[in-house]
Amino acid sequence: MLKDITLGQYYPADSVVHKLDSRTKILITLLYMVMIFVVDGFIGFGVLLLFNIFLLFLSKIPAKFIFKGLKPILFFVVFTVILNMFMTDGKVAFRFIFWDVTYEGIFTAVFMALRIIFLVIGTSFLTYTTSPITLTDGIERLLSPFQRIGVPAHELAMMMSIALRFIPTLIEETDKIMKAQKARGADFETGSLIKRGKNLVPILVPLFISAFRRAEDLATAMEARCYNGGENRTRLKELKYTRLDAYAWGFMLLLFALILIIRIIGFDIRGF
Amino acid sequence: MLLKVENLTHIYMPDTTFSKTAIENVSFSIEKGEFIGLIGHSGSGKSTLIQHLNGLLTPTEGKIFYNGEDIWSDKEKIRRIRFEIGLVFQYPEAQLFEETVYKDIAFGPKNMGLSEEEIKQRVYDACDIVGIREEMLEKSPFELSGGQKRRVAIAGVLAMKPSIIILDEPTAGLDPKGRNSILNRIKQLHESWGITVILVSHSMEDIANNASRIIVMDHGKIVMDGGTEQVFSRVDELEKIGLSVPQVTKVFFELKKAGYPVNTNILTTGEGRDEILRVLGKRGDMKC
Repeated sequence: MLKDITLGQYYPADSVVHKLDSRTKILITLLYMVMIFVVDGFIGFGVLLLFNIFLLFLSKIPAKFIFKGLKPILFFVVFTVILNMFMTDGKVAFRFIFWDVTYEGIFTAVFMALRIIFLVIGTSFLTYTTSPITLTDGIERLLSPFQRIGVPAHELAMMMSIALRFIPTLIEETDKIMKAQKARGADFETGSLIKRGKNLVPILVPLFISAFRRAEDLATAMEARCYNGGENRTRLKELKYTRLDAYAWGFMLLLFALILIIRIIGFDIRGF
Repeated sequence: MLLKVENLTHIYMPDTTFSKTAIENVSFSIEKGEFIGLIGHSGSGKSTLIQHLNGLLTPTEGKIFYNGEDIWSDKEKIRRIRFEIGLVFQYPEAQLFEETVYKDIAFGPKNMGLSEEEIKQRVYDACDIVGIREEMLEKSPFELSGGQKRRVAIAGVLAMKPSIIILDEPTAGLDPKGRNSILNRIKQLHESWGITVILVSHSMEDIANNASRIIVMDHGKIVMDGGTEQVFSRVDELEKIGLSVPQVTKVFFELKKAGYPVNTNILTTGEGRDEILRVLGKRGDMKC
């Protein structure tokens, strides 16, 4: 059940996307996010869709995995759609009980839903194709120029990698505790919202206790190995730009240009 | 027949590259009052199997019958099955959450919807069985020692008065004194309450000392199922799948190989001593 959450997990495979330098992937992801907000119509989204399909084939990640990753944000998407559908003024399309639904509302709703979905799908490729360690290495290297103005790059990266490292562990732990409480007749599926919230106590208390215990153990283990910060630390795997990164950048810049052109020329479909 | 498992198969994350068949076509049945030892090396599917017995996992294929009734025939009723078939997980102390020991043990009975009186009675009964003294009931479970926490957690399951109790390595990580005390309590429980016990353990001694029947799992399948003596007589097969027999049994197998006229159906040190005395007695000329 909880094990089925795929969003934010690393999916090991042998693909060109996996081989890209993590710094390239992080920056490309940022560029992709900018692109999503540049797009203002369905043709733009069509281009992004093609890009995502291309990425899917290139990265060898099963499509099922991607769709599963969308599940946790489903509620959020539905919420956005409903809100936009009923709250936008314009030409009335039909009446729903006592609310007017406008053409503009439907368009904004679909548009926003697409935006969120593309945002999640596209950015999830970053975590699917990059192991947490190289990801944080990349972040650290990207942040290191800012160290001069007091950004603790190494510490931030370390915190992130520890947090990422413990997500699967905590999920497993939660699963185990949930099962143990269910075996004692705990019920997490029925009852009012308040009751359900109360029912979480038997999970949260043991979970916090074990998380604190793990944190302490980890701190002790790091201390025992004389860990101290980023100065002069070497790496097992050095990050290295290759020709692949240049290709990726070339491709992305072309894509960005295309998206910009669609936006500037303004022939995109922006309504019904 | 109390519990019956029919052609049970479970696949984790089916239809993905991570899909893994944890158990495959497993069938067996359990009679009331049995004491069963479930053994198998790590990853052989024991944990997956026991989580099916009280409906924590749903079978990919196959059925489980409790008292002749399919436990999944009515999804709403699955909680009732969990009160009947108690499951104590590995390191069960991780499930403690309440402010006091009493409240924690009462969690199960409370979920059953029993009256305060009945809950109190059950908490006291469960404490009595696992050996938790009354003055500990008002303490926080987090103040207790490891062995005591473990007992409180086991009491939390026993307080539901299940007719079957499944224990997944209840002695893992305990000192010898804690181990013996927990195992003896379980044995007493089996004798005095007539409860059916399924004990998962890596200690062949613990199994030999308690169980009357052994189920052996390997790669998600049941490879042996029979009386304790019978299963432990198949030393070579057990060793081939990464398991073993009790040390003392092993000694007698070696003695036999070395030409001594001993019986090899020895499971405990007590039996071993008697057998040696018997053999020595027969050959009165041998002096120690």
